[in-house]
Amino acid sequence: MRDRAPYLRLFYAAAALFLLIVQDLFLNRLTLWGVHPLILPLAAAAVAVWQTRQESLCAAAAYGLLCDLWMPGLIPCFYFLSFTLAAFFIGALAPRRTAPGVFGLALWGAAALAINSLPAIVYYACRKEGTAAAALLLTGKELLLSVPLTVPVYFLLLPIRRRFRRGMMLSGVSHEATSA
Amino acid sequence: MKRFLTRGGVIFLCVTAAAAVLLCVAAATDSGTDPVRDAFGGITAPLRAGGAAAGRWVESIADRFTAAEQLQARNEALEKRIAELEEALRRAEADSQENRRLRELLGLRQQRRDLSLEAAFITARSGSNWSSLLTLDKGASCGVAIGDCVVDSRGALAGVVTEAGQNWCTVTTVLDPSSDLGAKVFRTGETAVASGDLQLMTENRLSLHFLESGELKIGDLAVTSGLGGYYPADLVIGSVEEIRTDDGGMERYAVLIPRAEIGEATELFIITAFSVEK
Repeated sequence: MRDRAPYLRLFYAAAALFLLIVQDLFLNRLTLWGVHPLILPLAAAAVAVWQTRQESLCAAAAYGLLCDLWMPGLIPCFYFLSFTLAAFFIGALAPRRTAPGVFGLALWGAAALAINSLPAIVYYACRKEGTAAAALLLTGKELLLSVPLTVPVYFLLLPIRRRFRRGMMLSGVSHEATSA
Repeated sequence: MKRFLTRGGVIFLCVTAAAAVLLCVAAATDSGTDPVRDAFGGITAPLRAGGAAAGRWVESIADRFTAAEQLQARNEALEKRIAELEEALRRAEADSQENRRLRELLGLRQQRRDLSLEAAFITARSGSNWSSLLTLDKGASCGVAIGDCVVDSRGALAGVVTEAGQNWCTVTTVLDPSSDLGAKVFRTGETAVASGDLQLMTENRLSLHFLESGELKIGDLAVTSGLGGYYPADLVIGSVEEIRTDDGGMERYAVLIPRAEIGEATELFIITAFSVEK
């Protein structure tokens, strides 16, 4: 019985690297209302709802560490903490019997983005009076711009999930949530 | 769970968490750029430079399709601005000659300001919406150090170097909420503080906190004060757009339009050394 899990992780890692390059080369240059869209939290949310809790935590931790090294945040391990926190909550709350489609994934992606912004909101709310409102406004703009990117993320990661789910079912390995 | 353990999942999670902790410890204990980020930045610097070069090539192709009317309008505005600047230059030359005569009369030495500049391309922009950072393709190997000022081609202040690797550096721009610069109003010479603000950053603006007793007008230039000798003096930060009162109604502050075109710039200049002789 062939172990396909390492190959699954390899494909997810390659997808994350591709999305990081897209973020760095294109999305960081697209600015509307003073903000640019984020795509990696959506990928982390997709892994969190489609994979087991342990796998999603590993993926979120790896994505977060990669972001911390590539684009620094408020504190050195900002993305590691926020991505892992989002994966933990989404993994605990997302239904396991039914894997969500693109609209369901958009909701979980919005949740991941909101959790990703939470440490920054708290930081600015404590730092200076009057910046909590500005932080919430920025979060809202970020959500509006980023959530539509769930569609390309869904269609990028869905073939990976289907390919390995079919292979795992054929080999008798039940690795992830069953879909309706 | 057993399968997770045998497949090394928890080991991977521990390794990742340890790497994140190492990142924090290195950042906390090292006064400069931590070795982990320095190594990662050094490895990815050629990739960023290649990506940025490709991006500039694509932008140059897209610029060819810009509407002719926009270019014509911009040309007319620039010609008008050139005429205004030539008039101002003629007045400045007369003032400069008078200044020289008066200095000779009083026996004062000529003021000099020497700047050593290192040209650098922007290879990456801030990935987070909570900060305004730029990554440039020059680092410590070219004499770049933390605290160096970065200006654009017109000499306007764009930001300050806050991280420096061997072949890359990170610049915190004047728009970043953590940015605080000693400034002065060019017209009156009064001291002020130019600070980034989270709300104003999304509007491509920054704030200037000044003394209530000071007279500030729309259009006034804010420049670096140079006090303490950390930054060169008289680097243009921006011009006053409006004067507002804070939410508490207690303090007034000015909103500055930054002179450096941070969003459009592709090349900046790092001031690696400067000397001021008065």
